[in-house]
Amino acid sequence: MALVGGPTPPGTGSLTIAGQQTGASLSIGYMAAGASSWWRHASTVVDRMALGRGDWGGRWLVWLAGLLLLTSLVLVGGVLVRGVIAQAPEASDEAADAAASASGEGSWRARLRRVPALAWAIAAVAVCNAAAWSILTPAFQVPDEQTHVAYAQQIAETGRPPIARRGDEQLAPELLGAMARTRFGTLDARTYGAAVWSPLQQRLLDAELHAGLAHRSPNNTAGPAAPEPPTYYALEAIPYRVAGGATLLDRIALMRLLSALMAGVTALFVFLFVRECLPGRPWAWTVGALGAALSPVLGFVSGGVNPDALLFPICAALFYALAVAFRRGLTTHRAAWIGGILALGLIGKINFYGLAPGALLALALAARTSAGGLNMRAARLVGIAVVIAVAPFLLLTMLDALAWDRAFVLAHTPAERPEDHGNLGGQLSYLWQVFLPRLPGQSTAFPEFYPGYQLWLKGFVGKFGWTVVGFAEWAYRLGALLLGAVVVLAGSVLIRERAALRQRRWEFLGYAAMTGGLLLLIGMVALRGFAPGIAGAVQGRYLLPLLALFAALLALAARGAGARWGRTVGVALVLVCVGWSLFGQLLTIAWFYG
Amino acid sequence: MKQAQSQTRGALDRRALICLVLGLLVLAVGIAAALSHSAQRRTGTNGVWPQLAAGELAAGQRACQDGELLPAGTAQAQFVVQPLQAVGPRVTVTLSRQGRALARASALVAARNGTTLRVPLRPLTQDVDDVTVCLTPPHVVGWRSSAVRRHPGPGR
Repeated sequence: MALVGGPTPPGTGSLTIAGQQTGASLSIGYMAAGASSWWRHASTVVDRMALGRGDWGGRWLVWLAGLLLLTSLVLVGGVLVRGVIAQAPEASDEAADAAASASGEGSWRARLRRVPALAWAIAAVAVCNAAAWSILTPAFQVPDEQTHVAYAQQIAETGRPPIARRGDEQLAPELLGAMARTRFGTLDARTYGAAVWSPLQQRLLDAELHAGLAHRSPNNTAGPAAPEPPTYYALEAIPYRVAGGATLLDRIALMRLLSALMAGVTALFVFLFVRECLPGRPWAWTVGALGAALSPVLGFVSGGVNPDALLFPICAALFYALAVAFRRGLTTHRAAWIGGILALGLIGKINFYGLAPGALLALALAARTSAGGLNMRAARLVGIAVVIAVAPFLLLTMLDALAWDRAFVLAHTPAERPEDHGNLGGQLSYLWQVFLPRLPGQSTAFPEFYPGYQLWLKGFVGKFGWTVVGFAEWAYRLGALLLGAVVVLAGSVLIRERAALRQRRWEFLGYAAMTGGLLLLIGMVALRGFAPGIAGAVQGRYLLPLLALFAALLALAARGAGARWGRTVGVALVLVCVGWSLFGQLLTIAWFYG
Repeated sequence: MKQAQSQTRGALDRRALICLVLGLLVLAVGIAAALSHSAQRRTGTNGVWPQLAAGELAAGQRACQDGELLPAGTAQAQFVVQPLQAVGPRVTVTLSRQGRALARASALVAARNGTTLRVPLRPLTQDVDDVTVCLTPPHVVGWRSSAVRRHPGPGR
């Protein structure tokens, strides 16, 4: 008989067989007598959810999460009634379109005032959801959260970003203690499922949190996140410092709330993008933006300490700014604005580098259209954006090299030795199969599974925790079917309105280039072994920079159902997203506390 | 006339409204049904993710692990094992704290039960920490060890 286990988590003994240490631990589950429903088990679940936290923990947090979800539901209902079900007269629709056109003009305050109340409500839905996720998910159980906390802690404590020193990473003793006593594990040996369930464990955690352990890494390292640019972490250092006297877990709770606010900004820009990109049916903007705001992956990731939370609003803002440039022309002011967003992205997260080339192409195409050809004016507009975009990146690179002793952000070595995928043909074949089914004649890159379904689709529909908490298989298949239906409905609109599509072909080429660039970057990360294994390189959250396009797809699908059924299909799509989000949260609760 | 009515400010799209009401009902029923699902619940776990062969237990050997927390109300301990034959062996499990036995039970490993070995325990009224769990198969010839299949772990 073979005993199955895993790496030994802190606080758990290791297995000995015949007196010999095995270097691993047995996996043991303890079960209650008989069977019971979740209703009967609810009180126990609430008790468990109250544990594993700092001084601010307690049952009240569970009630707060419930209140946030209820608020989100009420807001969704209100937005649906006001924005989709209530039929505004055509004149009102035209006024909404006109308001959309005017929203890019005037001062920032005037522009903010012109953002419709519905958009703010949708942003609030995203914030409520992400804040609820931040309470439901135990500390460090969002992918890579421990290393992102370490990075922010490094900036908050020392005023400088960490050094990338693979193999010699020493996190702050305070952080290591919290990771151990929350039963998360260590930097590399994680438990994926453990939470603090017993008051005995909570007592040990409390003692550790108040032990006065050092807040600084002994060698200025922070784990695998160290090569990332510091913008997100510098922002997260603010709540960390604000709650400086609180325990580390309380500081993390506040940091997570900042990420949740970023989800609201994402939803706001997604709404503005759909409004700009698909004028003519204001109710469809609501459908698209609400669907995106309710995406459980957005809520889950933005409910943790993770730079993706900043990447998502930056990308949504970029799509919006480009849509404005294409629809209303690229002016000097707008070029500067796009440059500013690009700058923020380039110093925001490495994944943004995938979008940047496509965004530059889109910018050039918008400039060409606005300037009436490839002339000096077009070149000047692009030049303004590029200078603004690149300046902070260059400054940061100089600081990395001269002041912080950090390697150039792209110069870090792969996590693993690059796998051998043969010659260029073999590498292209590998890249193809990261996304699409294998073609006849191609060697099999992934013999055991198809990443397009197993990693992309499942990851986008929802994999929580460290990508270990998932829906039942039938739910993913249903998700694939529904996504297929959405694509078909959206496609029917594009075919029906192909004349308009032809007129806007350069705009769509720009969006396609951005999408392709991002996917290529992810494929290259998998190919070159920069992440441990294909499952590390390919995760659903990496698609969320394209959330604005997903929202546009939903809006188009609702429109595709026709004038008679469009709003009904729109409401149905949003309700599917509500269920998608709620069941994702229930799954997470069951996994960590059930 | 109908067109005029549909363009009145505040007029509601009836189909969409019915869809909203029915959809919310379906959601509520779905959530209620999911929460009514009855199953055996966990009182705790030691948090070890089953992803590799921790070791092979030969006849007469004893496998022990200390530092366990035995939660109150536990009526069954579950171990992840890989059976190497259809039935057997019968494994004796003892739980002790500082040399004092807390519980002792046995269970039969059977391939038909999959990879879970369930051992019944007498529930305690409060959590007990620092528990040592030992598994001992009998001195029986007739069951063998072989290569162990690696359990898939999650990616980063």
